[in-house]
Amino acid sequence: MHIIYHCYGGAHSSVTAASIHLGLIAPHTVPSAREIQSLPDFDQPTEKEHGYLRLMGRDKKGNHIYVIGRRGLKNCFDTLVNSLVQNWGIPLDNLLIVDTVTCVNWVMMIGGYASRRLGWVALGRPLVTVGIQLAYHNFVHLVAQVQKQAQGAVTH
Amino acid sequence: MNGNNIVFFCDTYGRAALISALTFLGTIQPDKTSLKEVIQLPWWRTMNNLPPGQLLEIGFGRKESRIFVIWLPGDKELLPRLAHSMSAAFSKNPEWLFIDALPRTNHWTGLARKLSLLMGNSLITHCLFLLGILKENRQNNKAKVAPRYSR
Repeated sequence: MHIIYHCYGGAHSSVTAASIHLGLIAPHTVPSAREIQSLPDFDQPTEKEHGYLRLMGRDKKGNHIYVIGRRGLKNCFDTLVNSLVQNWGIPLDNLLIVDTVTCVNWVMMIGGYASRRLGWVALGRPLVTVGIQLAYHNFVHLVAQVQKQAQGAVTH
Repeated sequence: MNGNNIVFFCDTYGRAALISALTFLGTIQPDKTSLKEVIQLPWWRTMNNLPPGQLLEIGFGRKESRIFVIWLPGDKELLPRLAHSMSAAFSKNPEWLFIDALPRTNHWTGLARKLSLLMGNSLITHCLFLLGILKENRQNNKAKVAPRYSR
């Protein structure tokens, strides 16, 4: 199965959710700032990388876990991906699309904007890290739901 | 799926994509078809009900290539990137060509965009978009080709 975590820039919330899913950070304790900032691709993607699906790894069940920055296509992203996949003959039950912006708080938004859009990394990165720590349980809850949903699906 | 399928995309509620696709199929001739004739096309009802991000197949080109149109509310440049990376991720090699149906904007399409932000997708913005797209197409005489992602 293919699981796609998507957010605006593919730099923070989708990376966090995918990392929890893959077991790169423990779900039961809030990770340290250092742990969060050392996640693969955390706070790294630029505008040039938006729109490209990035494989983060495979989970224990063999599902492929992806992240993507889909910018302003939030409302039509599911339709777009499903439409392409259907025309390629891939069954839709082999795909799970997860919007991680539902877990994002204001601290993450301000930090993410400062770091990625304005280039104020020294200010933005610590802010977005604190934001993730504050919203961590939301991410864990979201990933648990996704894993539960993926459990019933057949892995291809 | 195999075959050289072509996808025309735009961010003008599908109008530019449809006009480019119909021009490609020979239904519309940018130099000869009038604005009135374009407004009277039977496709607009279908296009008005087409959700953003949904592919719509409108016909067959040469060598049985399938012709699609799609529209996105913005960030349209992400479409070829997404399709390219998804096809690689899913180990599919669909021979699809993505063409940006309106790579440039002019006064008419710019005005239509601003008005559609205020009043939504209305008859006025519809006509303004079509006028602008026709003028743009007449200048270009053919759509610009976006980066090709597969053979």
